[in-house]
Amino acid sequence: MKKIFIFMCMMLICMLVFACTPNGNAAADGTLAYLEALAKKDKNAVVSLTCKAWEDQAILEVDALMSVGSELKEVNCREVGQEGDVVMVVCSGNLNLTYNDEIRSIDLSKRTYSMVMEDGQWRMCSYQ
Amino acid sequence: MTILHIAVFILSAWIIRSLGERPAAMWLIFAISILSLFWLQPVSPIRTLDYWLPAMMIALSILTWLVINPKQESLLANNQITLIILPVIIIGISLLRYAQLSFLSAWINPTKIGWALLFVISIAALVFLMIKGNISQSIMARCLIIIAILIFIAIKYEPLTTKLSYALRKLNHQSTDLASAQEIAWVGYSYFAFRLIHVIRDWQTGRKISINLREFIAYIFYFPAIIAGPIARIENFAYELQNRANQVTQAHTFESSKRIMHGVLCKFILADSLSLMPLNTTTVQQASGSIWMWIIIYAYALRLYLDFSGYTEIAIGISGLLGIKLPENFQRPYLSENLTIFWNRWHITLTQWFRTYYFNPLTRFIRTYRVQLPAAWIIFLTQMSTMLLIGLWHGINLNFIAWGFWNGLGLFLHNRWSEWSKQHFKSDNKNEWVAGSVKCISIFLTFNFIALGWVWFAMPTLNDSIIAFAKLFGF
Repeated sequence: MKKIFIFMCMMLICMLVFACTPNGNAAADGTLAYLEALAKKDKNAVVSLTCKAWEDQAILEVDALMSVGSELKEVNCREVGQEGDVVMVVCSGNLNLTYNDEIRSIDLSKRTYSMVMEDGQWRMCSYQ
Repeated sequence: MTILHIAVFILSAWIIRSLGERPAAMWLIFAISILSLFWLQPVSPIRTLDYWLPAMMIALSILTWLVINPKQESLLANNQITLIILPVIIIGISLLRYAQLSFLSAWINPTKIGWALLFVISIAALVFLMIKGNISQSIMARCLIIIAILIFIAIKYEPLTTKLSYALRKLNHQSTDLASAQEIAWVGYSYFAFRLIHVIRDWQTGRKISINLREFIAYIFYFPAIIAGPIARIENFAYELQNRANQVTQAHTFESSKRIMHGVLCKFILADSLSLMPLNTTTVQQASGSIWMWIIIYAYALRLYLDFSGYTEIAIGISGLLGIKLPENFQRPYLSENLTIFWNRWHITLTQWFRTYYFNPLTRFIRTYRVQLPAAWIIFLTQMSTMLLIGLWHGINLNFIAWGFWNGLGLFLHNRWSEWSKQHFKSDNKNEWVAGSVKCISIFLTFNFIALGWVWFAMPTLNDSIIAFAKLFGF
């Protein structure tokens, strides 16, 4: 019993260490996760990857994609700067929208995503 | 459940199976079942809800297990490893919040460690009070049933679910304008509640079952059957769990693999293809005539069966790989000759559950009531109310009530017809051709009655259902 108790404590400590290890590219990962959820049109996932202030906009974004096919092409994201609590992220690649065999490509590199830390996660909060 | 879930579950089943009768196999079933509970819960726009819903299910299960076991201190001592692992998992998952793995937000939004700790301490205090204190087990049992039913109502009655979403959003400082019932999707709750109530009701009626916490948790959250059942009885599951090594043979493995493949074919190829022809307001409006409407209705009826029975086959198959036999849920229901047979072959474990815990006790109560009702009235009341309850289980709205009424009325009319025809027709018809024709016509009529009933089930409002019926019959 004592051994199991020690083992469980060790497990918790390991999890704690893992949890507290900083992830250098977390904001960019958050943007990529947001774009992936958007391409899948997973409304719940998109909203959960969005900051509270941007939730209604995020729903509009998903709704706009509902009648078209959507796919991400060669998307990579990186952090390009920080303004106070906001981390700026730029992504390369495209979001391809398909409607009746016609493909419209959105160049993601033209957007700069603002990511904020909210409830322990980097969440998309607007883009320009 | 997606193909990824199924693949991971099959892999897990193979690993557990390879451990044979080692204790680690049992621990793995337990741990994978708990983790699956968190994994299968879809992410909610309401922050941390996807963490709290599974955590609450675990807490309710622990309390239920305490209720059905004799109150003694050795209970905790004999289950201390499980009682340590459960909080470690609950706290461990909350720690994921601090790992800054952004992709996780698309899967789960864990709460702050402080809240997780407070939750674990509260449950531990309640457990301690139940063991050492004077909390009556029978009162606790009643409370748990009431809680299970109240939660059920809260998540199945849309106006209430929307209000709940509003309240939770307010609590989280999220926009209340976006509150909607769809945000509170509690995966597996129905089956969880059925298992919980089954265990408590059996305990209340004097059926004692000796089961440790690890096996109890494995029963409640058994990973192949979390989402769509079937609802096994606890004593059968415990027996299967103990004797699973005997079932892990080459023949069983072949049979189980066949069931999985058949299930995948039914669910992901046939049912998903038929979903291109849905039964909804738009298709009803677009259907150009009654023939198209009939095609849509038949496609929906087939899809519903293939989808649900496909899931069940996958669950039975994965469980079979582990050597655990789950009960069958479907036995060619659309080939039933009458409605009574249909409801004995469609979602069998659910109808058995309602028969055991509602229909039979109600029939007994009415029969022994001081005011004697005619037999026909008793049949009407019991069958109708059972079908209405099954309807309400799918969702608390007028359409599901109408669907329950449709089937309840059908069952009653069939019962009366059977009684009447027994007295007026001789059933010793030796002519095979006539008997075969009667059988075919019966199957055809039963299938069509059930298929028409799905109109109430699939359409969002009574008005839409009536429009669909009007189109079906050329009005």
